[in-house]
Amino acid sequence: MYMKFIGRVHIFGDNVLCDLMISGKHIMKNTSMKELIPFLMEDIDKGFAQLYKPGDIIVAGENFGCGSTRAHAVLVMKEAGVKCVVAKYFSRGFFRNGINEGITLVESNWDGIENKDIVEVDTEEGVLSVKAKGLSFTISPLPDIMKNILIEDGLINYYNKNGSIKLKNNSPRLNADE
Amino acid sequence: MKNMRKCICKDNWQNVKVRGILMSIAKTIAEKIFSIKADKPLIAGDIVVTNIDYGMTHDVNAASVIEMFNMINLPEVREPEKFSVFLDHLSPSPTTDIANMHKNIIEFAKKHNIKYFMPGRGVCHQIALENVSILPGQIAIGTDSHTCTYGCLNSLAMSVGASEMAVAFASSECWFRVPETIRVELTGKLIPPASAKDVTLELLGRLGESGAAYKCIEFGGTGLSSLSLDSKAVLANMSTEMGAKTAVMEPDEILVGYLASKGIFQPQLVYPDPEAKYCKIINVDLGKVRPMVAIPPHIDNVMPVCELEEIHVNQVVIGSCTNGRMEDFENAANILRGQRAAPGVKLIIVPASSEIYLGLITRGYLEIFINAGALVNPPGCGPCAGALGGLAADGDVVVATTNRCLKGRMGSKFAKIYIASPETAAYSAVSGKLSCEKNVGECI
Repeated sequence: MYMKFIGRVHIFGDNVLCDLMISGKHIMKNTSMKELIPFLMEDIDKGFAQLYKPGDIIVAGENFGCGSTRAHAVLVMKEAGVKCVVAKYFSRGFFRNGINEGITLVESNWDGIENKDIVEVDTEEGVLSVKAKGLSFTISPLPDIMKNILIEDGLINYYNKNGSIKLKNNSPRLNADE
Repeated sequence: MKNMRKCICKDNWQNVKVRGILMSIAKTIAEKIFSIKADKPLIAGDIVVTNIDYGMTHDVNAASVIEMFNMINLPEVREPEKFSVFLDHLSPSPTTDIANMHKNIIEFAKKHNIKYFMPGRGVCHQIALENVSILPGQIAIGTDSHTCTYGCLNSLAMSVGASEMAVAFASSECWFRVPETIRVELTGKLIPPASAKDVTLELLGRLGESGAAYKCIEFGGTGLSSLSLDSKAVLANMSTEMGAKTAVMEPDEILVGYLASKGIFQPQLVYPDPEAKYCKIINVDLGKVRPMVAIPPHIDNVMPVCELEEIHVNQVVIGSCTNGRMEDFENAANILRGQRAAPGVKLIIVPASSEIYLGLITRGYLEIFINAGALVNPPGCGPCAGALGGLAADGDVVVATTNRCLKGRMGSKFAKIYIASPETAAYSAVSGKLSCEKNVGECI
C-alpha cells in the first residue's frame, strides 16, 4: 500500500528506540510476530497495544526507531495493522526495515497534530493534513525504488513479481525521467 | 575537469537538479566504492542496486530472515559462499526455545550450503575481521546495527533488515542510497590511558546520537596510522551510535600488513579524491582525547571520567564486538595484573572470538583476569544485548566497554550502564568507583 491513508493519530516523542518497541525479553522467545502484538511499544507507552486499531497512524518526533535494527519491531507493527508511520525523521535502519516490509514511512514536520486527531496522508499529492484543524504539510516523494516496493507491499512481494530488484531502466537517478 | 556538483545534504537531496556529466567528479570513499560496484559514476543521493560481496545474519534475526526467504517463489541461495550465519547473541542457548531455534537455523544453513558458526565461536563482526570475509572496496550487509565495523578494512558495510537479507540470499542484490559523508580528520597520537573508545565517545559528544544520520563517516588524516586495526575497528563499530549508515577508513600500511598476514596481497585499496565533497569535516587531535564516559541513558551524554562526581560501581563488563579484542584485553590485563576487583564488584570478561580467547590463555591474561576475580564468558555477545552472561540487577551500576546504555539494555531497567573504554573499566573494577586511574582523583 502506498498512496493514501486516513487514520487516528498516536503521538510518540523523539528518539524512540527500536530496542524498546519490542523489549528484549520477547526476543528470547521463539514466538510468532502475531503473538507479540500485545507487547508492541509496552516499554515506551504501556497502553498503546490495547488502544491501537489497524489503520491508525503513528506520528513521531525525531530519530524514530533508533538503536538496534531488530526485525521484530517492524514485523510486529505490520501484523498489528500499521500501514503508515509519520516522523520528523527516521533512524536509517528503521527506515529500511519499514519500507521493505511495506509500511509507508513519511518524513515531515507535523507541529500542531495531536493524539486522536484524524490525519490524512496523500503520498501522490504530497500532502499530510488534519482537515478538522486546517493543518497541512507538504511531503516529499520517495525515490522510485521505494515507491515500487511499497506498491507491491514489501520487498519480498516486489522481488517475487519482478524476479530481481534491479531498477527497470537501470537508472541510478532518483526519478527515471530526470 | 571542473567539479560541477555541490555539497548535497539530507535536506535537499531529493531536489538536486545538478547532474550534468559526472565522469570525473571528485568522490568520497563511499561514492567511489558504489561507483566501482555499479560501473557508473554515482554521487551522494543516487539510488543503486548492486551485488553484495558478503552478507551475514545471526540468531536474533536469522529466524525472521529464514521465514522471509521461504516466502520467495522457489527460493534458492544463489551464491552461498558469500554468506555466513552466526549463533552469537543468544549463545550458549539459555533456554530450550533458543536451543531449538539454533537447531532450525543450522539446518537451514546446512541445507543451503551457507557457512555457519556455532555457539562459542564468537561474535559475527569479530569473526568477519579475523577471516577477512570482506576486502577493501567491497560491500557487505548484515542484519545487525554494528555491521559497519568492517569499515576498518576499507570496505562499505551496512545494516539491513530481514526481508532484504532474504532477497540478498536469493539474488545477491541489495538496494542502497549512496550516502553523504562526514569526514573525520585525525591528527596526533593517543596518550594512554586514553584509547580508541574515548575517541568515539568524544565524537558522540560532538555529533550527538543522530548527528551522522544516514551518512557515512570517513576516517582519515595523519593520526589514522597511529591507530592499530583493533582501534580502528572500535571507531568503525561505534559509528552506528551516531546514526551513521556506515563508516570507512582510509587504507594505510597497517591494513596492508594485516591483509598480507592473511595471505592477501595487492588489495584494491580505495582512497577519497582530494576534492571530494563532505557534508561536514571534524578535526580530532588524538593527543587531546581524554578518558571519557557516556552517562546513561544517552550514549551521547559524554564527559571526561575525571570530571565525574564519585560513582560507586558494582559490575564491570570488558568485551563485546566494540571492545573485546586482543588490544583491549592487553590494556585491561596491564591494569588488572596482580590486582583484585574491589569487594562487591562483579567483573565480567567477554572475549569477542575463540581466537581471542586462546590468545588470553597463551598471553597469560586469562590467569590475570581469573586471579582478579573475573567471570570469563565464552566468546560471544554476552550481556551486551541483555540476553545472558551476567545481566544487571535492580540498582546495579555498571561500567561496560559495550556500545549502548539505554534503560534495560543489559538486564534490569533499574540498572545504570556507563559506557567507557577497557582501561576505564579495568581501573573502575579495581577501585570500585568509576575512574581512569588507580587512585581516584588523579587524571591525565
